[in-house]
Amino acid sequence: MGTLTISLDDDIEKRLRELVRRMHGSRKGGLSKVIESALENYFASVNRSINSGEIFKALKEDEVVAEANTLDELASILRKKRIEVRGLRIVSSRPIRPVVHGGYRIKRS
Amino acid sequence: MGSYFLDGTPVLEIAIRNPFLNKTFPAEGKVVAIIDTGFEGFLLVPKDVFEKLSLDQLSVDKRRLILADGQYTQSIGTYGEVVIPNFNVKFDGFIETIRGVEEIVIGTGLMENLKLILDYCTRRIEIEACKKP
Repeated sequence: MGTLTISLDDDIEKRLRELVRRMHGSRKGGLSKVIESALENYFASVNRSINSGEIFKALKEDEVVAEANTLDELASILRKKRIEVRGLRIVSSRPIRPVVHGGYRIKRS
Repeated sequence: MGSYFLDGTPVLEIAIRNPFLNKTFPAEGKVVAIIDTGFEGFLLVPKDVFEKLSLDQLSVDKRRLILADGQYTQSIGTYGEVVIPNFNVKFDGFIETIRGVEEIVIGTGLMENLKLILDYCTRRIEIEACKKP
């Protein structure tokens, strides 16, 4: 268990202490729990954003014919193997979500 | 330049690539894409752009997009590259299209690779790629 000494902006500190009070009352360790939880969320968010370890695969009739860390590499492998790319299905190790918000620019056609 | 406000809407100049069939849109230069934080995908393009990139010649996946009015529409898409020439970076992601869309729209799926500062006070946009730890 590590101990950190950090400096916070006054307003951030005030909001943090209010949040701790709301979530944990005056129980000991509340501040550490909130900070740990906030950092866990931040780490998860940063890890998602750096695209680490994503693998792309090319599938022909559900059989993986090539895989690589980038689409450029995948295309290069397919060219070397002389595999016809038309009709290939490209998938990622980070699968697409089946339903997402479309934003506000899209109008119903 | 590369990124700026167009009538108050943040835009970014990009090029789009299909590395499998070696197609780029536009064939030369860049195209303006709208930055929309409400779109959770990577990139949405008009159908004709999707076809010019020959992305329709790969097998496409389908999914549903929730529109602003709560209705659903179906998109089709596959994977391609977005190049940001002014910052010399490119990103791989799911490029999709739906019937009737007329703009190229950048969503949070692409933005999660970027540090993006929209400064409406000075009408400036600052963009840089996320630093890898």
